Amino acid sequence: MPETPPPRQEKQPSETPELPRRKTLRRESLQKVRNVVPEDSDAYEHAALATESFLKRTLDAAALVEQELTKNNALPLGDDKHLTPEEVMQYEDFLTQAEALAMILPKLLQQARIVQYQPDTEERLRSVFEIIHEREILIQNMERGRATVLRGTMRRGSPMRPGEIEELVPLATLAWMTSEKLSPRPELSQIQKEAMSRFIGSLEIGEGHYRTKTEAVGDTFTETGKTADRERRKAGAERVTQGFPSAELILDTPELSVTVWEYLLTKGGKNEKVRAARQLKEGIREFQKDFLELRAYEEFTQEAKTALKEHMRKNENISRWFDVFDIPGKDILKDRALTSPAEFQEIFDLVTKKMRGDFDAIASSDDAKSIGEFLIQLEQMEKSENVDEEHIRRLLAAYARLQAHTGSVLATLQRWQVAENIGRVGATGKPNMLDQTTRMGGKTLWFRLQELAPYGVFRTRSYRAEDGRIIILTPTPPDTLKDHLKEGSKAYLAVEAAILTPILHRMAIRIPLLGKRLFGRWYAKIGVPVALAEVSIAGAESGAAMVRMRQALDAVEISLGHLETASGSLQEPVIHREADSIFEHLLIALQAAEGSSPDTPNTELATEAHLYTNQLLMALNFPPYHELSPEAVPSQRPEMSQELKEYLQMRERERQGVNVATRSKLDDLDLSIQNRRTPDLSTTDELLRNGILPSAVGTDSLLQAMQEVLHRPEFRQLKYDEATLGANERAQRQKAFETAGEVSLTYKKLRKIEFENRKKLKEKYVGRESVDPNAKTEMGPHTFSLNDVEKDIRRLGILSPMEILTIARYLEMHEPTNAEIAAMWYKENYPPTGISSLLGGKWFADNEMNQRFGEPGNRTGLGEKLLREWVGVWGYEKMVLGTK
Amino acid sequence: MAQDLSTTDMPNPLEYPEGFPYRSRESAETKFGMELDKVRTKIQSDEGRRELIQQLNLNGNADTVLEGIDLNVEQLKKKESFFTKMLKLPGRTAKSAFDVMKQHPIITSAAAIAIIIAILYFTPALAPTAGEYGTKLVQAFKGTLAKIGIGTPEAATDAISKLPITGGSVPPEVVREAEEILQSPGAMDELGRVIEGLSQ
Repeated sequence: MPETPPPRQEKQPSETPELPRRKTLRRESLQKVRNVVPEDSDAYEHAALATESFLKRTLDAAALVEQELTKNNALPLGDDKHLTPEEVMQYEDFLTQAEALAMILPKLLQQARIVQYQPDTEERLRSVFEIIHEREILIQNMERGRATVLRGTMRRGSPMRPGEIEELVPLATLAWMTSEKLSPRPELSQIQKEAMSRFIGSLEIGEGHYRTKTEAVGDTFTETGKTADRERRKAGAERVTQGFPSAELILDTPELSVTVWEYLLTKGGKNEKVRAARQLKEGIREFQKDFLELRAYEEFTQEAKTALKEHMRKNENISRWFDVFDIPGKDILKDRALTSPAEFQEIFDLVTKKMRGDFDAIASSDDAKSIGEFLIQLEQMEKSENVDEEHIRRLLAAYARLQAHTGSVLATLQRWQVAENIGRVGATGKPNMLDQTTRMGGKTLWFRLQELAPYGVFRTRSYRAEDGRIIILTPTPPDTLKDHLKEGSKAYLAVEAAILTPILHRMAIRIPLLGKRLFGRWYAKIGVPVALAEVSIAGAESGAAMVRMRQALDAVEISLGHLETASGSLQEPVIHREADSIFEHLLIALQAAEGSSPDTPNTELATEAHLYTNQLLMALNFPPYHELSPEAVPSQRPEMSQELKEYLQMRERERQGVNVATRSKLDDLDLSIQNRRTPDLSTTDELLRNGILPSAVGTDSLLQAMQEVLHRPEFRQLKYDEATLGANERAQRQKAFETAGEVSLTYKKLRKIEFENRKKLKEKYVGRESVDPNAKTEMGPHTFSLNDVEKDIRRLGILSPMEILTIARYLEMHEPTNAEIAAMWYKENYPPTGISSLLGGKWFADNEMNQRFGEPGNRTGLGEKLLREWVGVWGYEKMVLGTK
Repeated sequence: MAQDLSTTDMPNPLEYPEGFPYRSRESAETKFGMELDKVRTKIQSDEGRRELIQQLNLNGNADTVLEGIDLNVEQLKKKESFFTKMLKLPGRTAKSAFDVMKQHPIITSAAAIAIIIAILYFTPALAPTAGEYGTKLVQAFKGTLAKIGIGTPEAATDAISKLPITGGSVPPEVVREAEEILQSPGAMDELGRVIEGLSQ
């Protein structure tokens, strides 16, 4: 800064000479970051809000900087008010960095979003939130300080107007104040002037720290980006190994990164270009070493050799036991139970040979040949030498293609490896062999037997890895004879598994000690003839399941292809529809692969399919739009896959709500985005503090506010209102469940009348005037008219939102039994007695209730369910009856 | 379902491709009217194939059907062969184990190991077999896969931090508050302390 720069023109609030490109960038960037959906974790949501606040401040500042540069350019030549060349460079650096951030931050956040439930990523997202909030508080105090100084000083002999101060505060750095030669207002007392002088010293300290904090924000973002990249690739590699469709998209979608790199390398400022060239060069060198110079191949081979030696040694040790005890039949046992060194070597050679071939294919591709040239160009850029931008674009595109190609080749190789090794007896976890038939975990005999597959075509097309992940194998169409038995030796081994069952059964029962302690429960349930007979009958269905699985996987690929190619032009409802389609077909594929009946949705597989659907959406640059009903979420079990466990843990944590301190920080950032300092009392706060609703509130905002209150810790800490629920636990339980049941049944009756009349009148919407209020409608054992239901609604209308919230909180913490649900939600006998009941027989009743309310022990979300139903009833009363 | 269906023919599910209908030796031999070995031998020669085509009254792509039958027969033989081997094994193994147990109670558990191994043939966690090795290879490869990716560029903030321009215009309430602070030297000192505190 010059020592005594001349005063500059006053700023006009309406003047923001932002370039059109930056305006578009600003709009798109903030919109992207702002688009948070219910499936996002709190950590992501908070980080997104913080990032939006940071970006908005940066882009607002960039608009001011642009304004200053425009004014500077308009000055006549020789005018001493011109910025120095150093200042101009500093301002321009600011602009290019702001633009770079507007491109990078949404991308970085999206990468983190794909793996947002993963603990490391979650921690990084929290630190983004925290550090940006710290910086924001410092800035807000500096702004108050700067405003105070500007209010207490004069410029060019005149005090500044409040409107002018509002505009100048963000720009009024100490250097600016010095250059503007501000002087204290004459009416200030000596004590005030001294205090202001001391205060300017504090502002100087604040500005120094502003730099540190802003750099810390950059470091945190970079760290988050690295963590997200690493975790996303790990997740992608897992999904490829699992054989899930389009898993390569999670592994990497280069086209999403390339736009950012292209901007940095071609449009960025000098520093941006040098920095980007260095970073990208390092990345390319790593890729070159790993894939073109075979480092990754060598590392893998080395690891494979170590494992090979270890397994050979283990086998030899076991082999010696056979010799020591000289057991009759030991040669057969050795042959069948162990693996010879030659067979190990054969596997090793097979895998490494195929891998080497694929590595060679990558290295010999046309795009790979341009890598050397790209490195040279990037080195030149790093030295600030001029390069041909078009050439850089072409090389970058070739590198992106090479990445995509490599991902695809290696994904195919990995799937081949899985398919090749899965059929070998003894694969880790729960292979489709003996223990598939003897599995106890909650499966009926029928399903266990169905999985006992004598031929390849009947085998379930999945197994569980050690960490609980489902590995699905792409099915071959059963339309040729060869395919039927194509698996050759693998099918043969499956045949052996089936035959061995009775043999091992006999062995187990002959050795009571072993049989009882170790294996008794396995074999006790397998009746030999029954097993074999059931297998054969189930065979036909399994064959059909395979066809279903293939068709479902194909449908997933089609939806994904649609999302991938038309991403820019898709409207949100279309994306939701595609997401639903992916989810449904993935669930069909997973159920078919696991051999479970398509008629009974499996909540664990549904949640797996839900998670994967959202991972794919996020990998394709969309928010995780797919939602799963809270009642359909399974309870946590140790054998579940890692990502499912992480997801359930996240949901469990978030049920505790956001604590007061965090919410206050969120409010700070939210207000900063709105350019306000004092919050209004929200509907939620009104509800929580005073228990009242604003008169204009609609159903959506009421539901949202009530859900928010429900999850607020201070609400959860309140004692139960005795007037609402009664003084003792028994009375509270009775009142809470009874009221929830009444609300639920009334809501269902209302929907039933609406549905029946829509069907009858063939209309999408049926108004009250079109319905005969005395016409009777049947629902299970209940018969009712609209008049009856409206009476119930009016009676329920005396309940206040706070009373309903109290009951909802009770439900969130106390789950009803099936008997209580039947009595209070369905108003039916339990076990059911009538044929025409809503619940059917006991088995059906339990099944129905477990599906709708969650399994006993995991009946989460009942409070939210009550809120949804109550708001539905409340909305009818308000909008239709007009009594609210 | 008390009948042992391992030796009985199963109904032919609709999904089965024609040409692979035989689930046991008996059913195949009844259909062909000859032993399985003979069926396979016939499939190998042109003349034998012609004979079978005539006998089975095959139309259309008879070669494919015969190929399927060949595979079918081969599998049935493998199944039988292994069944026979394994059927003899447990009796002998168990008898031997019991004998050892009777004579040497102390090493009972050691003797049982052999039987456990037979059982563990299909229990992967402990059985040191090719499958476990294959799985290790699959796991090891994940590291190689995870190396792919262009990566997210670093989000540098040095240029922004050098120029402490803090954003856009502030709301009017900030200026009103500033006027109040200005009137009170104590409030100014307090705000100074807050800023310094935030800079610790």
